[in-house]
Amino acid sequence: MKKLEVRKNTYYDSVTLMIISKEVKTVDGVNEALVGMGTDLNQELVKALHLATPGFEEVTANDFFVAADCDSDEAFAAAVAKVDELLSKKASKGKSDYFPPTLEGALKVNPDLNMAIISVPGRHAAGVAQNCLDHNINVMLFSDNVTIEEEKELKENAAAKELLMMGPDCGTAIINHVPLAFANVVKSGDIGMVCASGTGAQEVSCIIDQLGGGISQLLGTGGRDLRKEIGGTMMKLCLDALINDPKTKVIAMVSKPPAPEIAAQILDQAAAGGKPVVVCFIGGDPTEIEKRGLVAACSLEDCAHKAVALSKGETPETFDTFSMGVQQAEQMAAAEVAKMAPTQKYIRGLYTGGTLCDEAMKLLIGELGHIQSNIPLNPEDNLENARTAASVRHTFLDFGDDAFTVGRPHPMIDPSLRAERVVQEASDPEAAVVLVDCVIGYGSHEDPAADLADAIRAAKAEASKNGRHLAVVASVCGTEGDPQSRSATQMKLADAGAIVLPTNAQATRFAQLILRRL
Amino acid sequence: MPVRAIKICASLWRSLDQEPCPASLHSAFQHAANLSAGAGMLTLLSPGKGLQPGSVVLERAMDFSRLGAYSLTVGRDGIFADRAKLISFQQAQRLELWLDEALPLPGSERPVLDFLSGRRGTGLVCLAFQEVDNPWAEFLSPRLLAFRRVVWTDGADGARQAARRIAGCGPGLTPSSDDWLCGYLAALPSAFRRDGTAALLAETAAEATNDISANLLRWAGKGYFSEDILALKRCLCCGGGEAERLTAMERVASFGSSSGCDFLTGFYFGLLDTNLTGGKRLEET
Repeated sequence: MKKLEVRKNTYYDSVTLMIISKEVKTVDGVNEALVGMGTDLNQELVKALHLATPGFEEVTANDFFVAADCDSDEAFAAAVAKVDELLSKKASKGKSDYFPPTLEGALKVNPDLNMAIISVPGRHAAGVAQNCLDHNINVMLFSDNVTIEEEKELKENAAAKELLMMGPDCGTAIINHVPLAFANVVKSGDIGMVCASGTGAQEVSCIIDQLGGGISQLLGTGGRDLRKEIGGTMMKLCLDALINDPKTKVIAMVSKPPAPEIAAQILDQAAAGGKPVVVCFIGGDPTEIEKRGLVAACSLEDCAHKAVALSKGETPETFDTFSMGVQQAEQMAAAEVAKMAPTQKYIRGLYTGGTLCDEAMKLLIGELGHIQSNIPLNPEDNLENARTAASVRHTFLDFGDDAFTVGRPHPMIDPSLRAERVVQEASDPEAAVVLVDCVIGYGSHEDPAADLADAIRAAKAEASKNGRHLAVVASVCGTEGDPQSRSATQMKLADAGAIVLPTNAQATRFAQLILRRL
Repeated sequence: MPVRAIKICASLWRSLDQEPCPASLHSAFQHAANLSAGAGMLTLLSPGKGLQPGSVVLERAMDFSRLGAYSLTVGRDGIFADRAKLISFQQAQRLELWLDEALPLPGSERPVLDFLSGRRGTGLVCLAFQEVDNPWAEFLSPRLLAFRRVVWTDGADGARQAARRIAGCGPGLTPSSDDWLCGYLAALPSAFRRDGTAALLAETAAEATNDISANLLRWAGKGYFSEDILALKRCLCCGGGEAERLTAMERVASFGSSSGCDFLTGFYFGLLDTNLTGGKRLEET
């Protein structure tokens, strides 16, 4: 039977047409076929080969056609499918990065797009975000330096349309299993996360992955969302989305402690949602959480453990110990202390992840009393000019804070400044422990452990030269699936002499064991 | 930042208005795109491609398929998408793609035939060896022979009819017979362009084929060819070295799937006929 497929005003390059011509004839049940543009002479040839069908005369010189003599309709369908397969192969091969210069242009290219990541200077960010919202596009606003008034307006506008307005200063999200900005390769699963902290979200999601759990969605809100001025608008919207998401069985919520009235509203909403919710208000009071029947977590790691337990239908139990066991941790800490000089008394926390730094300080503050920092827990512990100032007693530095990032990339992208500081701390006779994080995953430096390992070696050598032993305690935030690989990163740090613990909380507790012995 | 054009056909550039005029995407491929602009077609080419008449070669690759989403305008400064400059012509080298007056050297068709002997099995190449190995060649063989005879003997009407009988035949985007005709026109002496015969043949064929092929034919009828073809013609007219000639033929042959070889086949027959006739119509001899 004679069959015809016509694509009006359609052009394919000659190489493609030749491949199609050749391949179509090899399809089972196709006896003869001619492929080309519908010029008069090509039509004449089709007729000469007895491949013409009724309607063929309507084909024009600018139309692409496939004319075939086939055994059956199925054979022709297979031939057309072959044509489409070859064409799509060609199209995907030819794909290249393309950057539409305007939002309107992007929408013309893909009218269905519904998510925008915005990273523009802060003064322009609100306008760009509002433009996206006006076009019903969900927003992840990576930019900072957006005023709180602008943030409030953007979030209210977004909430009115039930759109996400993640940020400003939102660096981490996983939407429909696609990691956005600084995020990790984690398994898919039934734990939905809503977080007002970037590295906090990364730490929890990575530990969930290590424990065998998976993430349904990871939504960010930006760090100021739970402030009284904003009112937790996005946290409420995201929480509602996860409550109504059929793929989400358990919800994990991560944030610094919110304003009390906002916390009450959020916790009431979570309690009414009907799904198990683990709440990690880092360093916050668990009373209000537990009072509503929700599960409070004492650390990011504990949050992950409890979420995974609930996901598996198990009773969540607090995890505040060591994976290696307390006894072994005690022995290792004692061994470290035994090598130290009497002058060594203090810890130096040098972090690239702000939330990890905050978590470590909160885990230690009860015993240490004061921790100097550029992101201090108490105003009187503020370390002025942190970039140039020497560390004082117990000092924690967040290298992602403005004090360190003016004119420089974020330390997760360029960790060199932190590496220099690791070496610098070694020359302080009072420094006993250096506590570091190493965040891997998308967005992060391609090998953040390399510089850090060199710095650790140099620092240890410097201390040793002066008759001291500097303990370096580290944790890696990431997964095996990340481009840098968690285990490979851990190995590099361990080879350099660091004691590598599985999580930031465990690393902090290990440092605490050392400090208790000094 | 707009993409920079590194080369632009000077004739195309002169035809553009200072003030950008509306344009639209006609067709897009992996390494080329055609825009319908004003009365003609403007071709965008990826880096590494030889400049063709009416075309622009870009500094870096683009995903041309996306151009259809924009309101495009084209002017002497470049191409604008939604009023934002997408491609800049400002620093582009403007090249004249005009075929000069020189006649091919006697016997210059021989190296082309030698080259084509390694391309048998492609498009219409078989015809240069008095063979037919595909239905297109079989269909065209007598018509092309008739065309060659008519071009050198008959007047305008005969030539027009003959051109009409070969136009738009073949499997490629630019049907093989059109490529063959472009090649043939490139080999014809300048007298055929001066008296309008070449343009008449090209226009007649253009009316019977698709837009893209028609565009190339019309430029060929006016004596405009790609820089690769001009380089080849210079080699054959001025006696360039073998290596230079081979490189030039390789570049022409690499165009499209069979288009380059079909062009060379037509070019071979054009050189053959020009050399056989001494470049003069038969009634003049």
